[in-house]
Amino acid sequence: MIAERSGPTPRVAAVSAEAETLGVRVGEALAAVRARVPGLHVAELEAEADARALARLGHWALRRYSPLVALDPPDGLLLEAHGASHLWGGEARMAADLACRLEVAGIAARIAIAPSATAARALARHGPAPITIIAAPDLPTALAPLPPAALGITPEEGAELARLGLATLGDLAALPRTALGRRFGLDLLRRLDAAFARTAEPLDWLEPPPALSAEVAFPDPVAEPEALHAAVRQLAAQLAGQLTEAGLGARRLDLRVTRIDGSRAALRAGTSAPSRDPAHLARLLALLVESLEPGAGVEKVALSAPLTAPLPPRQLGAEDRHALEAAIDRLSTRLGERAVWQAGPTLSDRPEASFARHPAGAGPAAFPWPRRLPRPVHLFDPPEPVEVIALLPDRPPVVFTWRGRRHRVRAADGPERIFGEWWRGDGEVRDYFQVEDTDGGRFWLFRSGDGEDPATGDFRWWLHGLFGA
Amino acid sequence: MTRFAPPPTLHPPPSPAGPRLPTGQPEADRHLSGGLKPHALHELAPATPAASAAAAAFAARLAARAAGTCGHVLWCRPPARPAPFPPGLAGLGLDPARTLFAEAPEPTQRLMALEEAAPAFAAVVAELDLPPALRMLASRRLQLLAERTRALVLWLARTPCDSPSAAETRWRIAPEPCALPALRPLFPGPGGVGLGPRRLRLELVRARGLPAGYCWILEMADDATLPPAAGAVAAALADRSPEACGTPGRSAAAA
Repeated sequence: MIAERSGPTPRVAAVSAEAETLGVRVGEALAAVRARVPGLHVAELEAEADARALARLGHWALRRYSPLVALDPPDGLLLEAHGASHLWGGEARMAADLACRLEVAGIAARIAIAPSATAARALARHGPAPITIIAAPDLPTALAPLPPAALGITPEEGAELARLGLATLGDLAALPRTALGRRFGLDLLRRLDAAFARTAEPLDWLEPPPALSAEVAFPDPVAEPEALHAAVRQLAAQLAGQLTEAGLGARRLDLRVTRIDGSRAALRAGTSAPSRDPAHLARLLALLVESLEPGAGVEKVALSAPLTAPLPPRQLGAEDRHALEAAIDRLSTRLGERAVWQAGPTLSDRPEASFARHPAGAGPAAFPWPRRLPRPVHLFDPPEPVEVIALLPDRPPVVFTWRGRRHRVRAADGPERIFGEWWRGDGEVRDYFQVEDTDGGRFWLFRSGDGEDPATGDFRWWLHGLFGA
Repeated sequence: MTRFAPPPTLHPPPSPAGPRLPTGQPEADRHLSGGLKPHALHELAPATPAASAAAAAFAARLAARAAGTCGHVLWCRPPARPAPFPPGLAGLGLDPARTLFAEAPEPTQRLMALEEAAPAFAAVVAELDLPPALRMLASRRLQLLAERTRALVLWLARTPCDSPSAAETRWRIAPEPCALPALRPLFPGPGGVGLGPRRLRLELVRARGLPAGYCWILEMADDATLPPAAGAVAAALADRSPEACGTPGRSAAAA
């Protein structure tokens, strides 16, 4: 647990999971806890160090997840997911990746994605699940059961509300606005509106570390797509010039747009290989600008390259490779980075784990797959159960039933024995048979276990793949 | 046993108009004056829903041949079960380092993605199942795309489909029982009699400017270490009458 010594009495500022099970609560006086729970490990609260760590985490999120990141001290981060989640194949995938990486780093986190920053903050801190994703239509129902403290009001205000029997945001939202404003001030109304995404809320976005960037400010606000496209082309050319001078190519591009009403939007594009071709960069950004809402008008557009990689001057004859990289980038921008992939080798012999999806363009090297062994064209992952008539321990099936249809086996080849990874330690064994039914269709069946020792598998049969013929 | 190619005197090589992409079935290639037109749309549909893997295998083989030793292949598909298995495709000659998969649930997304990306690829496989009303429009666009970008575009359907399209050729693919007894069982277990080389039944449903309705048996050598272009081994013409297509099993492998 961590103790805070700022006030007259040292108090508990944070507790570990173990201390919590012993009944230690945040806010208790340290002396009382010490008396009750002997042998407690107490550390001093270092507020400045925590703030620095939060800022570091913010800059990491800025590089990895979203071009707009704000700190929510003492222990929160706000990410603008709208313009960046497509690179992750959707908000759910982005949240899962974030959760996984934070967990690996030993940071316990709760994540919420919602139409407004206040709502996301409220759901992350007071919502029921560790990861919550709420779309705009579901926002009122999702917020209704949360306590008023989720709005970030002072404890005194919270106590006052509780005294009046207003236990949830749903209760608050049901009251007439004027009465609520008179009783509790405009600040509460403002917070409530922000939570329900009725007004935009100003946030103090983190400034990205100095990177290659270019920006253009319009003398009059523009809303026409043509003008925005022209501005983006101009910025891409400027950025490409800077990249050429630095001998770098862009791996990520951030386009930040400031609207006339002060609100900001940000869009992010990724490239499969470093690039500084102005036409290519402009085409990638044009795909994003289509999804931009200019609102009342845009007054400033800034383009930066937060992630770059060395790119030597291009040699002659590399156009084909270049065209391929450009095509991969356009596919990734349109379909999402996860949707465009190449197969790479793994160390596993289990067929479903024998290849990994790599981002396209990485160009996996030589393949250790046994090319002489028969492998199907289509694979079912997970395998599908089949009813089989076969002699133990090692005969191929005579008849099998898959998806309600009976197949009589005409000829078979096998068994090919495949072992699970020894480091998984489950001693898994599978015997694979390639069988052909009377129509000529070829199927890849396996029996779990070696047919003799029940410890190696349960002897059930599965259909794992189709050879086509 | 050794397989012999037909003697050249009996089967003079065709004189194709421009380069052609051989299917690997000599009789079919002769009929198509050397093979498929390389910069065109070809439609491959399974004869039955159960034959979709057979159509995919044929598509992989054609794409691998079109890509040669340095071209790239784009495989555009819905994120559906079952998924193509890269080690199996590699066995058909499709180099994993040069094969890209792009996944999108909506057919329109896949079509848009194809139009944007096709110029960079030697061959494109598009898994598409469209309602008949859309097939004509989509196939025309794909045919134009193939001509413009000089790529082989293979339209791979997952379910049988008979409505017309603008494809250069349309094929119906089905598996065909192999020749037994097998010569070299890979895993000669006590009960395994082994399997002969895989066979596909190729039915030419339509070919622009050519008579169609023919049926051939393609025998694919199981030896995947052969270079892709030499991977397919000859098999005999099964039966040239359209009616015979419904009765497989009357074919005989060339030996």
